[in-house]
Amino acid sequence: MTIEKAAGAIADATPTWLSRSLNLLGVIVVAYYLALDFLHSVPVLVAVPAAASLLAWAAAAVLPGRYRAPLSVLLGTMVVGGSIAAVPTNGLAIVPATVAVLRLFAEPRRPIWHGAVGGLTAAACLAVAALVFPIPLLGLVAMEGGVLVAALAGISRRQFRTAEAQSRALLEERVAIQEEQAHGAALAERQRVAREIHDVLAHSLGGLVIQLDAVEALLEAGEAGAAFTRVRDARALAASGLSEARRAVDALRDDRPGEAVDGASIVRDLGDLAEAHRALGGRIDFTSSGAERPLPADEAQALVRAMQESLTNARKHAPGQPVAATLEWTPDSVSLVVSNPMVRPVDRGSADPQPGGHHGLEGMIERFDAVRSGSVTAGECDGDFVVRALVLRS
Amino acid sequence: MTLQTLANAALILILVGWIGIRQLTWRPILVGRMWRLPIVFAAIGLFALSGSHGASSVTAVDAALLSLELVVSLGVGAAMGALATIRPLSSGDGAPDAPRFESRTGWVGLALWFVFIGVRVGIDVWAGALGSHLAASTGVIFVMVAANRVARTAVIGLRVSRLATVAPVPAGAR
Repeated sequence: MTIEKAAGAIADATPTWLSRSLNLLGVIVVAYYLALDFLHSVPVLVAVPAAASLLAWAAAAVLPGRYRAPLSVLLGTMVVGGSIAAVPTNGLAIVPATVAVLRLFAEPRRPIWHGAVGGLTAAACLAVAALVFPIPLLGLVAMEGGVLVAALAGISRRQFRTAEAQSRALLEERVAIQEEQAHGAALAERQRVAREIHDVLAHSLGGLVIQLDAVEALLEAGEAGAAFTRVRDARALAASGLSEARRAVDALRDDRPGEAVDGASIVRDLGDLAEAHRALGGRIDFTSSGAERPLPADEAQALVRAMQESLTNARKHAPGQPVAATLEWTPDSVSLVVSNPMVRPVDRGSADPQPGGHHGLEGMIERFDAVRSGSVTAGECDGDFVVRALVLRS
Repeated sequence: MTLQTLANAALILILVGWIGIRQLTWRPILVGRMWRLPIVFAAIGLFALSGSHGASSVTAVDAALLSLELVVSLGVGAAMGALATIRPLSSGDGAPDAPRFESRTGWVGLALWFVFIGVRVGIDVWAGALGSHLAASTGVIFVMVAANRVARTAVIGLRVSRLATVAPVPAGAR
């Protein structure tokens, strides 16, 4: 909501019952004293504008704010009628004129010149009336002063209302920003969950597909013994995938950051992945060098996932090619480099059993973005596909 | 024809010519400087008034005529401010206090200026007939011109401040 709209909403608001009652009370009081003191003594020239201004006041008090044009006519009648009748009625009829000038200035939706025109008209009508009817100097000055005071009060009220509208608009803007932030946080969380699911399922199900393909081939060839070994491997892979899925679900449920993971168990996890790669028929040379040290859970997890994703990709895009994986510990950083020779893309048919697309690499990059001082790159380098993951000591 | 009338006539002619020329030329808007002229005029007018009349001799008729003249001055001034054409000043983007806009009131503004003078002369004649001499005095002329300029400056200042809140579109960006 813009400031103008907010101000308009205030200006268009129907008058409250309190303001209606106060205005109508004012109309009755002024009408009573006018009738009491001047009904029989003033000429028609004065009685008509006085009555018109009072009637207009009563109507303007109850008319909802959205009828802007009729309201302008009513306020104009109050200004002209009231200020013409003010001098011969000893200042009594100035009340509706000042009320109208105040309102003309005070409504933020109304252009400021409405107020200026109203105020100047009232001052001019008073002056003309003072030339026609005798009045002491002080009386005229007091009435003109009353118009001036009404104008100033109206301007001050206008500023107050505009400020109120501005603060309301700011508040709504802030609420909108907060909603957007919450939406962004929910989206990030969903991406995290998607990443976990992908990493766990892509690895174990992709491995299972390869194993089962091999089993099918072995059974067709009548090698039941070898097929049996493959099935056992496949079962082990499925079991480890299941336990990994449980761990991932537990980690998602548990909001606390995990405890630090010691270096030896990271090396062991990476070794397990290399072992699984071999079990799936791949060739891999995995080495770890340097002094191992504990890492925060998210950094350890990121390194393990990077290895897992690299091996899944190698099996998918460069089957049978040797993979070299090096983990290097230095006092300032831990780096993991996984590389394998690239194979020319061949037409492998439309039915690609591998899960994937580019979700794995995207997820890997997102995971390293979430780690405070981590970075990862993946791409071709001298005919090899190389994944470099780096975690700096924070 | 008295010396007072002659002096008034000369003053009016000079003011009419000067302000008339300024209406028709493009002038940079320096709101701070635009307030200076009306303040000087008002000071001269009030000084002349305080020298010529005691406060005790002011009547309700004087006050009524003065307020009528004041309303006309302010109204015509505001109308002139509203009619003025405002355009951005391209060379003004160097110094921070350099004018960013210039304005020209134009022929309609000049016509309004003559209306203002006509109304003033009419009120002077009417005031003379009613026996009020204050309204026709030289001091009041100055005060009324000051009021006219004050209203014009206020309206132009308001318009410029509204324009300035909207960031100017660079000429090449369209």
